[in-house]
Amino acid sequence: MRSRKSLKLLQVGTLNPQKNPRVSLAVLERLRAKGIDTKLTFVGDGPERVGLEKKCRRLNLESYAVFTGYVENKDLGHYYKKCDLVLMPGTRETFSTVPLEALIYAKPSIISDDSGLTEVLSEYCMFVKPTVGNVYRKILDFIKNGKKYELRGQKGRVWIKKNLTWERYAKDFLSTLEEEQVLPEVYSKSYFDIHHEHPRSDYLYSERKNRIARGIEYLEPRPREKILDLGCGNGEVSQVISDSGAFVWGVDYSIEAIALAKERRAKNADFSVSDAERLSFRDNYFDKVICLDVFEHIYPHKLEKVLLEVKRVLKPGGRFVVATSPNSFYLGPFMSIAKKLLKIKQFESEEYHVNVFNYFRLKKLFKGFKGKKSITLTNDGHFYFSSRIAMNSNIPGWVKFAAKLVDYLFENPISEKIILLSPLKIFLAHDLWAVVKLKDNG
Amino acid sequence: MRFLIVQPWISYRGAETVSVKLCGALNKLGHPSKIACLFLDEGRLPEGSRRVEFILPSRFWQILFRKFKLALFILGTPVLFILVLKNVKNFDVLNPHNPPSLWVCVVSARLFGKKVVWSVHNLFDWRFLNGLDEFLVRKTNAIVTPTKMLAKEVKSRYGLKAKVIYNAI
Repeated sequence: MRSRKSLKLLQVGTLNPQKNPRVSLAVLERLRAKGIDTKLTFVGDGPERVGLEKKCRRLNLESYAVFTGYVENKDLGHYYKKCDLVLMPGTRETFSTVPLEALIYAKPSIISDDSGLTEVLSEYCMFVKPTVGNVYRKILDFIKNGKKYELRGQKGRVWIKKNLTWERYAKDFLSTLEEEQVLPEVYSKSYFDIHHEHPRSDYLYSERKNRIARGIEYLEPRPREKILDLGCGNGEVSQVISDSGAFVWGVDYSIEAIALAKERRAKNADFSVSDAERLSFRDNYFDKVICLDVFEHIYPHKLEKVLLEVKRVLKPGGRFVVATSPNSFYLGPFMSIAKKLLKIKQFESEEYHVNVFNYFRLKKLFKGFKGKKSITLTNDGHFYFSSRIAMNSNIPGWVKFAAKLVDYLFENPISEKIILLSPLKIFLAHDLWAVVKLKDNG
Repeated sequence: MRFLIVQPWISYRGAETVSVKLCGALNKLGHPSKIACLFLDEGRLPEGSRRVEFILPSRFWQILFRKFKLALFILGTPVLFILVLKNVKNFDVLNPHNPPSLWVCVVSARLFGKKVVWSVHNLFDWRFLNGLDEFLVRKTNAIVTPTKMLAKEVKSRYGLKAKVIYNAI
């Protein structure tokens, strides 16, 4: 064992049971019993202090355990500098800054292995189950391999100074708001296969076809018109529009989606990868813009920017057609009940349906557009719930039955007629449509 | 972007230190930021507290909350809510930290159309209020945790993704 004149241990933090100061004190007792000249300083105050001081007196450790009470941040450095090793036996610590502060002075720590610090400091500090025996053995190892731990401490210091700065923290924090988007990789070939080309049931397939047909009906494409298909996906809408003789530009931020769209070889259609917030087209370029089943995939603050871009590229007197589904008033309550019953936190669709609309939210969204605006609600598909879960083997039979029952209740010819002809459709119809006809002067 | 960081109170502890340091760093990066809280634990403040701006209730409330835990327990949440509501219009993003800041911020943000980035330091069991807590957490725009471990807990409790940002020093 490498000889040491003395060992100075330090524990920083509130003296409460969660921080386990009694473990540190017991370790001090064992080290001294083994003949190792050890001192332990407790920096911090708390409910355990009185008991700890009493125990020190009983064990004749008064001269070797020091209680400083609360110490201001600016004076903490003095204690880190003077110690050899920091003890952090506290449990359930998410991310204590004490071992980080100690590493600034190149001092390693022995930390409870349930701390979140294991994720970043495993190379520079020692992690153990915080029992007296474990901490004691680690300290003996520290004494024996002093050089190794000294080197680790120095490496840790360099790493922290480089990686854990507040400027980096603030930049990462700011990026949380920018990064808030569904990753383009989500919209892969398999996504379009499952959701558009070969859905899980015939009902979903016909729902998609109905919606495209309705979109074309609202858009009224005419030959030679310039039309933007925003969030064109695999290009199925663009292809139908181009058949009318109009020129279509399909844009999407998913590279894979654009590759699929190009495979269609649609006449009069051009596809490009582009962020809808920063379109490369000049002002007033398009006669019409269509955006089918896209809004629910864009986070609200991004959607604001997308709408500004649409306003910019759309000619005065132009038309903007939007479809978004599902209606949150209809879906929301059933989703909540289903989650509770199935004991799941999130459905697969919630990974990409990040901005689900209702009538009022959609209406509010177009406040900035001057012109004639109409919001309508429809049921483009049938067997809304049951068709979505039909092929899913993980769903219990009784849930499938309940879904069928709900579908039947709301979609039978009588109730559907009532729902779609009354204000009830705001709450019970599936799909939302918005058609904006801009004023001639914009 | 202007940030309003919300904490029930500011003392020397970890989560409060993060709030103060973050506020200072955001200001340095050109994002005007302030901290709204009920009182300051004078004499036990994190380093850098003098360089950030605090939004506090009147002196009466500050003393009351600092001296009487019961008053803090009963009146803390409504006073913090009023404090945030009075100031929210001057900010773009609310950043709640310790409870009940999150609930206060989500409601205020929904009323005034602001964004919420929740900095989680620990998860609490709200027992009969867990449903309300989950409902409000789902209204946040982003969640930040200091460890992957905590991010996993957030995912399993709320089904939401959290971004891991390791605390700085």
